[in-house]
This record gives sequence, C-alpha cells and structure tokens, in this order.
Amino acid sequence: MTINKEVKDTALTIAIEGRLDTVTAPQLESELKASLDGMTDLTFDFAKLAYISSAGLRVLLSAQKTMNKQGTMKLINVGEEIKDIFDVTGFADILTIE
Amino acid sequence: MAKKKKLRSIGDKVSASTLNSAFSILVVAMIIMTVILCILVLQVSKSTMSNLAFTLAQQVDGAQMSEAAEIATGQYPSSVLANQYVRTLRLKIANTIKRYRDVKAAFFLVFDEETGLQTYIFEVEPNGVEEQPGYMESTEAMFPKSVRSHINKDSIPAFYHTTAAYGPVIVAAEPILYNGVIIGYACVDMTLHQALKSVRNFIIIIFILLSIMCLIDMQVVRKYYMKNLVKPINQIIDAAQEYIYEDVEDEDLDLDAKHSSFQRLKIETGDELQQLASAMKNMEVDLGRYIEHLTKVTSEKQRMSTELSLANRIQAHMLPGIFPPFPDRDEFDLYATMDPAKEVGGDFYDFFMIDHDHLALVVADVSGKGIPAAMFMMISKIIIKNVTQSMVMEGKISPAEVLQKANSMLCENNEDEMFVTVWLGILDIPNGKLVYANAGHEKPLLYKDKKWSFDNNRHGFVLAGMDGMRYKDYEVKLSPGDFLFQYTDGVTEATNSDNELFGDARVLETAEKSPLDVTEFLNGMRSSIDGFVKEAPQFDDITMLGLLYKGSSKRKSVELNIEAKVENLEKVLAFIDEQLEKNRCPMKTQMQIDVAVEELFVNVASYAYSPDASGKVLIQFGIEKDENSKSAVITFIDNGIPYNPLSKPDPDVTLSAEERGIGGLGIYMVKKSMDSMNYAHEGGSNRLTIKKRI
Repeated sequence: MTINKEVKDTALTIAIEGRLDTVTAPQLESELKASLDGMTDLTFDFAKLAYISSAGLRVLLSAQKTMNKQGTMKLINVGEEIKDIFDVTGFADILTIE
Repeated sequence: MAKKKKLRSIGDKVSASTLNSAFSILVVAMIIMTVILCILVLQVSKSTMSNLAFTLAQQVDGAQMSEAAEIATGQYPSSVLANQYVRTLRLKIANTIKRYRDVKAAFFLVFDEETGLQTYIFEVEPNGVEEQPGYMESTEAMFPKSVRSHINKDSIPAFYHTTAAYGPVIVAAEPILYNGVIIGYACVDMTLHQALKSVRNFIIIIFILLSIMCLIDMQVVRKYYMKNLVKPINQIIDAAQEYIYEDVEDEDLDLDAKHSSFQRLKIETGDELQQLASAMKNMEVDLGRYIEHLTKVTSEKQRMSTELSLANRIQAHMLPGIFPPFPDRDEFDLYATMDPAKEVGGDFYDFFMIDHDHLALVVADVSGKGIPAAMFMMISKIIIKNVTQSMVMEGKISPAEVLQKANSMLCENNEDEMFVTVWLGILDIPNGKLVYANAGHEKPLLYKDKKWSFDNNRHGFVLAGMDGMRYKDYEVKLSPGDFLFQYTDGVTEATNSDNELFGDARVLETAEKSPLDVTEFLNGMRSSIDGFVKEAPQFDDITMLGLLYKGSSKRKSVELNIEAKVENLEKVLAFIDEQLEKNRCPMKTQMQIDVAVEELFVNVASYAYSPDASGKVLIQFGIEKDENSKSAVITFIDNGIPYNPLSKPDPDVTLSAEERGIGGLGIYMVKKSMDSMNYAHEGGSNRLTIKKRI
C-alpha cells in the first residue's frame, strides 16, 4: 500500500494505492494521527484502492469521528466493489462519498 | 368501588343504644309519675278541703247562721246583732283559712233546688273580690252534675272546678245544721295552681337528675364495654396483624418466636372472648407447624424441580445438537432428535467422527424413565463412545466387539438391573460401507435400491443384561441417495387414545411418502406420529436419527497449514488467490472472498490462542460442483479456545459515526458477502466453513 499526501492550507488529500487490510491499516492510522492536526477538509482518493477490510473501515470510522469535530471528510473516486462493502456495513450512511 | 365506611367502636354502639333505651324508660316513667302525682295532689286537696269545710261548718252557730241566711235571701231584715255576729264570724274564718296557703275563699251558700240558684250568705276572700251577701248565681255553673244530688241532703264531696280568677280549684262543701235541718252550706275552694306547679317543678328536677344519671351511666357502660369487650377484640386484631409482619420481616427468629403474636395475648374475660383468644392461640400453633412443614416440603420440591431441570439441560447438552454437525463434509447429511416424555428421558442418540473417514452412529434406549434412566444413559453413552473410539484407533471396525466390551463394562456393579438397547453403526464415508450391530434395539429402516425396507437381521441381547454376551456385525453397502432411519420404541409404540400402536406399518408408510431430506424426513415422521396420537399423552421418549449418504466427496481440496499470526495474512491470501484464479473466479467475487478470508484468519490469529503461545490454523480450500454452478468452500480449522463467531449478535449498522463501535463488523461482512457460513466444534477443534459461488 502506498499513501500519497497533498496539503493545501488546511485541506488534506490522501490517495491510497493498493490494499487497505489488517496489515496495512495501522500504517494509515499513524499517518492520519500525524497529519490531521489543524486540518478542516480531509479527502480520501480511493481511485487506486483495490481492497478494504474491517481493519480499514475502523481507520475510516476513527478519521470520520475526528473530522466531525474539526471540519469535513469526504471520499472520492470510490470503486464499485469498495462501495458495496460500505453499503453492506452501513458505512455508506456515515461517510460522505462523492 | 364501595366507599369505606368509617368504623365505629362496639363500646360506642352499645352505650348509645343503652342510653337510647334508658331515655325511653325515663320518659315513660316520668309520664306515669306525673299522672300519679296529679291524682295524689287532687286527692290530698280534696280531703283537705272536705276537712276544712267541715271545720268551718262546726265553727258556725246554726241559729245565728239561719238568721244570716234569711237576711241574705231577703226573708228577714238585717239586724245589728246579726251583722255583729257575721262580722265576728268572718274574722274567725279569715284567721282559719289564712293557715292554708292555697285556700282562696270560704263562702256560705243557700241552695234553692226549685230555682236551681244558690244565694251567698257571705264570702271571705282575703285576696280577691268577695261576692256580696244575697248574690245569686246558677248552681250548675259551679257544682258538676255528679255532686248536685248531695245538695241539701248531706256533705257535698270535694270536686274539681275551674274559675276565672284562680284557674283549676278544688271546692268542698259541708252542710250547716239548725235543729237537724240543713240551712246552708259552708264551702271552701282551693287553687291547684301552686300544687300543680310544684308537681311540674318536681318532675322537671327529677327528669334532669335522672337524665344526668343516664349519661353518667352511659359513660360507665361504655367504659365497661371498652375494657371488657373492645380492648380484648383490639388485642386480637393487633395480634392478627402482627402475625404476618413477624413472619415476613424477621427471618432469623425461630419458629416459636415467629408465631407468638397470639401467644402473648392475655385475655381473661371469662367469656366467649377468652375462648376466642384461646382458639386463636391453638390455631396459631397449628398454623405454625403447618407452615413449617409446608416450607420444608416446598423448598424440597423447589430444589428437586431445579435439579431436575438442570439434569434435563445437562442431558440435552450431552447429545450433539448442532445441525448440520459436519458442515465441511458433503458426503452425507445427518439429523437427529430426542423428545423426552418426562423432564429427563432414557433415550439417546449419538454420532461422532472417529477419524477422517469413519462416522459412528448410535441410537439407544435405557430401561425405565426419569433420573435413574438418565444417569444410566449418560454412562452408556460415554462408554460406547470411548470404546468405539479406542477400538477404531486400534484398527478394528467392529460394532459387535464394541458392544461386547461395552456390555461387560456396563454389567459391572449394575445392581439395579438397568439395561440399555443399542444400535451402533460405523460408516466408512468414502466407500459407503456401513457396519452395524444391534443389542436388542429396534430394526433400522433402510432406503436402498429405491425402496424402503426394515433390516431383518437378528438382534443380540440388550446391554448390561448379562455379562459375556456376544454380538454379530452386519454390513450394508450404501450407495449415493441411500437413506438410513433409526429410532427408538417411542416411535413404533406411540399410542393413541384407542390404545392403538403407531407400528412398523405406519413407519414404513410415512417413510415412503417422505422426501429424502434428513430434516424434512424426521419432521414429517414426527408430525405423522402426532397426527396419529392426537391428544393422548406421550408415554415414551421419541428419538430419531436420519442419515442420507451422498457418496464420496465432490470437493477437491487443497490445504494450507500455517501459523496463526497476522503477519502470515499475505501468505494466506496468496494461497486463496492462487486457488481462485485457477478456478477463474471473477475479480469482484475474489475480492469479497479475500475480505472474508482476511477477517476469519485475523480473528483466529488474534483470539484463538493466548498471545504468548502460538498455534496453527489449517485452511482447506475446495471446489464444490453442482450441475450448473461451482462454489468455493473454505474451512478454517484451529485448536484454540472454543469460540463460535456466529453466536455474536450482529452490529447495528444504522448508528451514526459517533455511536459506532467497530466490534463484530468483520464477521458481519463475512456473513453478508458469503453464501453460507457454518461453525462446529468437533474433536477439540473449531471448524469454520464458508461457501461462495464463483
């Protein structure tokens, strides 16, 4: 998994390439912990995300909770397979997917 | 709801009614007394007046009076002498009557019977207007008819009369004689006003005094009743109320102290109340004993019933109860049920994998019912399972030998003459060979070559009946689609209200109509029995076992045995992906299976073994082919702590981000994305199988 960060003022865009699973999720979690401070707009670009498991969902949920306090969070370029997982788990209701 | 009436004390009621009747008596007595007094006054006055009239008649001189009368009537002119005499007489008479307070006047009359008139000779009336001598008036006006006959003959008896000046008066008249002839009468009258007033005052005073006495008496009566009737009753009431409190509140009190509220009563009234109190005391003692007895009996019963239901649960859990029992085996379907007639029954079924290729099936019935049967059932079940397993481990597939060995074990110390009928079969799964032996049990029903028939091989003797019995193995080769139905006598001997048995014929008939699906077959058999028996009570346990042989596995499986560590996730997924790609699995499905495999593997890696220890997980991958589809079947087998992830409730996926926890989400995703998911704990291993069409 590769994480690409892009910061513009207080807007952070994170593009993930590859698999977000039990092994890689902690990497994204620590990345977020380090860079979310002071951010008001968080965007995940999932164009190249191939795979997400419950460990990945857990990181997204905690990011959403953090951003609820300090700004907004949205997901862009979500593929059909990933969207299915969000639907099944009810995450589609709590995440902003564009 | 009726309004609650305010309670009135018996003391008040009794004293009020006493007062009531006392007053009535008092009033009547007063009336009678008044009448008597009035009569008395009248009599006394009459006699006084008669006496006074007589005295006055004696005081006058007949000759002089005769002259005064003649003067008064005008027959004779008045003379100085006569006037002198009259004056003297008047003074004398005035003095006399002065002594009588109520005597108002004395007067002397001459009656003329012919004219009916009376003429006054003179009158002495110290406090009123005197009639002048010679004044005439009608006799009738003063003298009533009853006394008029005495006029000019003898003394006129005193009579009652009413005057304008003095109201009611008593008049008496006494004749004045001159030469033996009545020349006139000396009369007196006396007012009754004062006397009647006295009577009235007397009556009023007496009435007031007696009324006061009545009131005092009422208080005395009230006090008496309060002390002798109400107080004891109140004590009994208090005791009765206390009785319950003591019982409930003071758990520590011993029974004698607990039920002593009536014993403390001291009622010595010497009447029915004392009897009542003593009866209550006796009742309390009896009740105490009864309660004590009842408490003992009830708690004993409670304990028994708790233990019985516990025994029931233990027994129910003794039997394998999760179906399908071996979800990763596609060579056979298996289903079994046991419905005890009482809380605990003597029937049992059992089945277990002896090794990868051998399945043991047991259906048995212990003699008798209830706890003893249940206890013997447990011993039998354990012995049969252990003996079977150890024998097969030694390489012997012989149910007959298992039964022989189990029989001698069960015969040891079987002093209560319990016995058990057992049918034991061992199925060689890959080739369908079923070896079985029968120790006095019902003959199994077999569907083979597309028709149903009972197995007619000879039975051996029951287990635990006699040591050293020998049993015989029989063998049948099952083909795919063959069905075995084994049961206990609760099925064939189910009895309806006409005492008819369900019987072999009905079992066969029902079987022929039933589909070859283990669950539906057993349920259909049960409803057929219920339909036959109707309301008649169930006498015996009903146990059934159905086995459908489907032939050797269509699955082609490959295995990965790997240490259960999160770090190995990539290896596991690589293994799965390789298999899926080989089978040309669509990308989307592959991703779903990957997610499921990750969740399950991470679950085992995180929880199955304690953090410091490590264990392995065996992952089997197989493909199951149907006529027009194929499915991936993946089984995770680990030897960690028994844990059924399916027993966890699903997470609520409708909550907001803030309310969300993450627990259970992984398993939930697996459940949602896979076609089926099964868990079994078998031979100390957790076996979790997922299936997904590819």
